[in-house]
Amino acid sequence: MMPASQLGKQTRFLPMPSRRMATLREVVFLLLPVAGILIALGLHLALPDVYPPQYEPSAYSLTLFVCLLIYLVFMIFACFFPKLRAVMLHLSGLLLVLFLLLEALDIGTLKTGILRLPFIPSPDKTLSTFTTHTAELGKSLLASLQLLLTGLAIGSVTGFISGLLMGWSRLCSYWLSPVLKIIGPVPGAAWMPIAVAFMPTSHAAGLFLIALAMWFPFTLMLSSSIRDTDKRLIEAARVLGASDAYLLLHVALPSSLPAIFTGMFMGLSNSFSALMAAEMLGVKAGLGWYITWAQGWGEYGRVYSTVGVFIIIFFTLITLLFKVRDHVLKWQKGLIRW
Amino acid sequence: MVNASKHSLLAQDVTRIFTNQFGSELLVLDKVSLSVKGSEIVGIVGPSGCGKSTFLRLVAGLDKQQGGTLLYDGAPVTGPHYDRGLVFQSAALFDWLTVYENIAFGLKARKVFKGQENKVSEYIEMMGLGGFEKSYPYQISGGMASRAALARTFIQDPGLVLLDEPLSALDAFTRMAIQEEIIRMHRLKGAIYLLVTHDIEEAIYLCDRVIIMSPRPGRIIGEIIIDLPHPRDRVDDAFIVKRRDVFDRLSGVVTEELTMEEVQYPMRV
Repeated sequence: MMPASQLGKQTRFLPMPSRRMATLREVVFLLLPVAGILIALGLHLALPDVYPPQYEPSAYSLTLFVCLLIYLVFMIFACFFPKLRAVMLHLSGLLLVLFLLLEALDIGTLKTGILRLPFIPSPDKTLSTFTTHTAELGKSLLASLQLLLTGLAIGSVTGFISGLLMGWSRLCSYWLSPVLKIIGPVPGAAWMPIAVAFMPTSHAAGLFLIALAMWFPFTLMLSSSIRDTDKRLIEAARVLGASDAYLLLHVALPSSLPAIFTGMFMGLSNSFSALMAAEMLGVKAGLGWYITWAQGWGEYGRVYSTVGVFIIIFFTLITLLFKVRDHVLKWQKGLIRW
Repeated sequence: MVNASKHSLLAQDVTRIFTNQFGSELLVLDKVSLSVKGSEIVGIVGPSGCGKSTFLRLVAGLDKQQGGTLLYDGAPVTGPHYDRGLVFQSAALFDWLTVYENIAFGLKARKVFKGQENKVSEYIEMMGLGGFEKSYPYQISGGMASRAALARTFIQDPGLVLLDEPLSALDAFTRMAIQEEIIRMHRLKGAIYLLVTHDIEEAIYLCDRVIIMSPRPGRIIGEIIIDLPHPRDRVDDAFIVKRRDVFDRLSGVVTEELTMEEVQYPMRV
């Protein structure tokens, strides 16, 4: 039986597997991505490379092979663990199409030359960035992550403090809300020249942009949510003997948690574009910088692979945020699903 | 037997005027005087807008009267205090706390929770909430939420319990079941109970005395002593007679004064 808590939450391709061992039908579904990989690999190896001339592909077939191995390992485990199987069954259709599209791109570029360089490199060319420029990419990844996470931390902490102050104290709200209203809506990129002029280093300027991107929605959501705390709950707490400080920390703040997460989600999305802007401020490493640099050389393969890394970072951060939220807000029903 | 209680509530000429955003004034409570002592359960009935909830909010210390005095145990009411517990019409539970944590809220807020874990469990059992300790408010029924809201107040051992239509959102059977819990709790702990309700039967079933209020401006226009022995029978002749008493007093003013009110405040939403 499906547990009652799962009802209405189903977004899966196939129903939750109930039995411990995989059925034949489930194994067939699990094998779909394998078929996709084998088709892609077969076509890639069988068809001759024609464009560009004298290009020696290696990364694409290697990637497909690694994907195949990883998938098979997961699949074996999935046959015995229903939870993992449910996730993989959900992904199987999507993965099949992904590999088929990848092979279609391979045929369009490397195998026929219909799609031309430099704007549309073959998947092999794009993937080769990871094998041939590992050190550069790794360094840029670390630089970006460091900048992004530090900026987000600064923005969240300041946003938390200013949101709390503005939500709770009329005086703070009076003096801070003009700052919030004027500074907040200005897009990060517009701050670039000012940040460069007033910050000691370009790194500090970058931090400022990212922190600002997080600070604004965080403060706005938190302060307005605290101000709008359900009056009945405040009265109930007061009648039960809660002091002002207790009221703030144990009623206003927890009831504002949903708004805090909304603010953080908005801030996180803003911070990604702020990161791109920040990395144009003369930094020496970073994914945004790397993209601009690769574009300057017409190396679109590297542009796409770096964008791919960006997607992985952003996806991971947002997923992480939603996971934390799902745990913290387990008392709330009807959450937005990611 | 009902425990002896030395608490007293004295309201003298309590007047409350609301001012709306356009500056026009509305007399909500007009010289309300009331004296309650010991372990009496007093019901306040009256049509919507008669200011009975406003009166409870004044006693709870959540609102301030413009005229008259309000004394609890001889001292003027200046603000909310846990000794004057208020149970709201909507249970007003804290959504992010479990039933257990909701009931422990007052003890924790007053920093007296340590060592009282058993007391919380005891009240959970007493109010029929056993098994729901770890549930969040969205997971429980309206009846359970009412029980939790009552337990949250009762656990503080208040000398005065203010009940602002605590059962009005419930179905008749749940309501009757919780009325029993309220009586049981009153017998056990003894305190002044002030019950605001729309439900005449509820008032007569629970109260020692029922105060009847007129529609706006709220005034006390009558008082009926309910001297029926407990447990009371809702379809007993004596009960029905009391019901009729209250009903007659109420229906007269309702129709008469409501018509007047419609003329006075035609724009009322």
